Amino acid sequence: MRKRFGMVLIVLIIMSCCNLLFATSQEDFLHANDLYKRGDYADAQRLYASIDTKGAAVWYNLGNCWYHLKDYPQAIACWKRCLKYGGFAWYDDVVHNCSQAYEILGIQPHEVWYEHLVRTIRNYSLLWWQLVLILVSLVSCLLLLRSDYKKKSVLLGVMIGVMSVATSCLGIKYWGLSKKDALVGQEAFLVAGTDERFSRLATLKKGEEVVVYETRGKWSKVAANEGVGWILADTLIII
Amino acid sequence: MDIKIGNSIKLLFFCVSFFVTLDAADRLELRVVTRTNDTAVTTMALGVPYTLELKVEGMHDLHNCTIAGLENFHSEFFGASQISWMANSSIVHSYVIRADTVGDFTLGPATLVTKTGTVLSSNVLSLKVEQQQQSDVIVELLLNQKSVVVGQKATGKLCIHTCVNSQLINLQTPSMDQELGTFAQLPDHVQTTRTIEGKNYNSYEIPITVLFKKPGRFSLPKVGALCRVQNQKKQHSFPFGFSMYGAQDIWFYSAQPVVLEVEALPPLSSTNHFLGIGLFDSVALMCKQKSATQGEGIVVLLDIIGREGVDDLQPPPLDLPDGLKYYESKSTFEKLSNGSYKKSCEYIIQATRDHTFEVNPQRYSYFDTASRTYKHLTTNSFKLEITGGKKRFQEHDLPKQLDLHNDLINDEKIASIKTDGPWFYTPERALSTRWFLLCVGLIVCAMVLGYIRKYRSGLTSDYWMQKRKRDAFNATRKTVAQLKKQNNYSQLYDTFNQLFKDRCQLLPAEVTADIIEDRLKKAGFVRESVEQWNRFFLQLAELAYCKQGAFSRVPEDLFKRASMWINQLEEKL
Repeated sequence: MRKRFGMVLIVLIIMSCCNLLFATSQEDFLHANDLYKRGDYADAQRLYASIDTKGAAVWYNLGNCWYHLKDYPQAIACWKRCLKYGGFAWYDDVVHNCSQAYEILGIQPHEVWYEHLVRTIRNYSLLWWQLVLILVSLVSCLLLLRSDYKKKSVLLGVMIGVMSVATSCLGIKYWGLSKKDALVGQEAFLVAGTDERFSRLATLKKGEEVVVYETRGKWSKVAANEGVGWILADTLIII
Repeated sequence: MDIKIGNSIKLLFFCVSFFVTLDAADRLELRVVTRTNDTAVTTMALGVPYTLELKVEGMHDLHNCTIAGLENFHSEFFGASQISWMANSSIVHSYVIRADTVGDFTLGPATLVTKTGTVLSSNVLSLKVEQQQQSDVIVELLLNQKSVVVGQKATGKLCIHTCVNSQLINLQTPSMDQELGTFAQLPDHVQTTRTIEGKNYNSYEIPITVLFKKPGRFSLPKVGALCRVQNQKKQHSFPFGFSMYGAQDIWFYSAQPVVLEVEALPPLSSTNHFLGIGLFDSVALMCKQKSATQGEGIVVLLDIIGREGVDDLQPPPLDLPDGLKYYESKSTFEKLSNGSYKKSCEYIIQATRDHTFEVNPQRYSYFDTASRTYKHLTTNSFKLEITGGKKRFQEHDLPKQLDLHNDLINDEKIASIKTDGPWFYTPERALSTRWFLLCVGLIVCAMVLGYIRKYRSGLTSDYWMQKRKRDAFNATRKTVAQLKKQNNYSQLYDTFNQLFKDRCQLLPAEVTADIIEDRLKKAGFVRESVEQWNRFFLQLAELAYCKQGAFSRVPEDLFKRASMWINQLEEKL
């Protein structure tokens, strides 16, 4: 009886601590919103940045602060993190804001036709896609084993198609989680190897988006529009 | 039961092999690659740096790893990286290694004792270190100056001469500490052909500049070129002019070091503003406006014309009378038709009070690189009449106003902040990769096994019954045609019995006249037709079971009627 009471007490204490922590973070969030509305962007940015468990709204507002503080690559990075952390509902706002920042930086963002599809897939959680694939596999299995011979080939084709789509969606989701996007924080050279002595492939503009493949020492291997090469890791803002 | 046990074993084997694949044993791998394109090599060039990669599958601390034979090379730890993909991860440690003596060496095995006490051992590399073939490619670094002052750009060119059988892959320019200076390539490359000591070369000349920020005697870091060279010894020729790609070697060629004397800039004795280092011809200050209102921005241009060092000039400061302030604006650089260069620096001047100002000549001094002395240049002067504005201008007012204006514009441009969204982050929930793959794997496995089982059982019973049902009429027609040829009417009874057995999926014992009649009625045959059938079928039975010749006359149209009944039965049955 005493043991149970002790356990309940510990759980209650942990829950209270969590509530207290979240309450403090929420206060910071609301206070930062007030600062932003008053035009005190620097303090608002500091307060948003101090929140430990930043959700989509915090990243979005942080992006707005950086925009007003004229650090446009940081602003774009924060807005993109907002999408990454579940702010898909504000997709249009994020795209609009990013386009404004890109315009100031003189960068023409190139969005491929499947970008929206990929973002939609990435918006659903990994668990969701895993369950979809398991369910599709299960239904396929049952239908296939219970159907008669005449419809089997058609059914098999349809099921393979549905399973391929579900697997592709899950693959895109996994790829989105493992892929490391980054922005170039300051103008930097893309070089052929992990040393400045290697030939320069291109000059990456401030705010240009790249995909990080790996990091060796102070160099990161990235894929940019201009090609694949190495760039100083310090110049990158990881999304 | 046997089948069930067999399937269970198959399933178990599948699951075990699946998890064995996922939990692949941790491996240690050693390889030497070129620093340019990560190509694994077994032959190293003398004095050329390569990357040694030590890779371990799984999460292990590689700092405790020992590599046998590494003492034969000059080595330096370069960095560590982690590669993760789904449930697997590996750690790579990179070293920059260089061989300083020619010969055959072995590198490895690398040995690592894991936390669990397991000893992992890597492969052993056999490496051959060879002298570079200098004659096929020549790399030269030539400077136009032997001595410069701090801040003066030394110009020169980097020449790479390659033979017909060699090809330039990559150029490695020296890496210089930012605080010490910079080495830069200029865009105008020249490509020519040259003959050096009777050998023809393709020459690339790349203009370069070197700038040092500290005085001293500096030896420029090595400049090198990575080239692919045809190896005559290893050439494997094939008919029709084909040759193996493996007969080409990749070599690194470096230029002879170049020494540059960098002297400190002599002290400037005059009070003039310092303009820069180079060869300058003239400076001119121009203002289109003669008068303006208080606080209004007035554009002033300072043009500097010269033959050397013009492009690097920073906008020099202006000496303005009290009551005038200036802000630096944009700068432009252009080449003039006479070969000189012009830099135009734009300034915005603002008056803080109403007055007629006399802007005095601006005096600048520069270090002349030709005479190695300071020289002086002076601009013209001009007058500026300022009249009182509507609002008295106050210091720092304008920049603030501009910022506020910009912020207002910015606010309109971007969407407002979110106050009611998810402000805290909830980590994404998911099944672990192993559990997920196990679930899907089991379902797929069950599906495949079930399908195979059903297919096999279908093949043995149901499938053949269905096939016989489908083909019953065609088979009967063929049999009747054969019997007609043989004039064998006694077999017709069995043929029609077989037809009903296959079509109606009956057992042999079930094929009786009553059941056939019942089936015909169910199929929609009218009473007269059924009676006709009964008479026909009875006739067939008599012909089948009575002795040959018992009937004096066999109906001539028997086979015709048989065919007709097949057609009628096919329509309704």
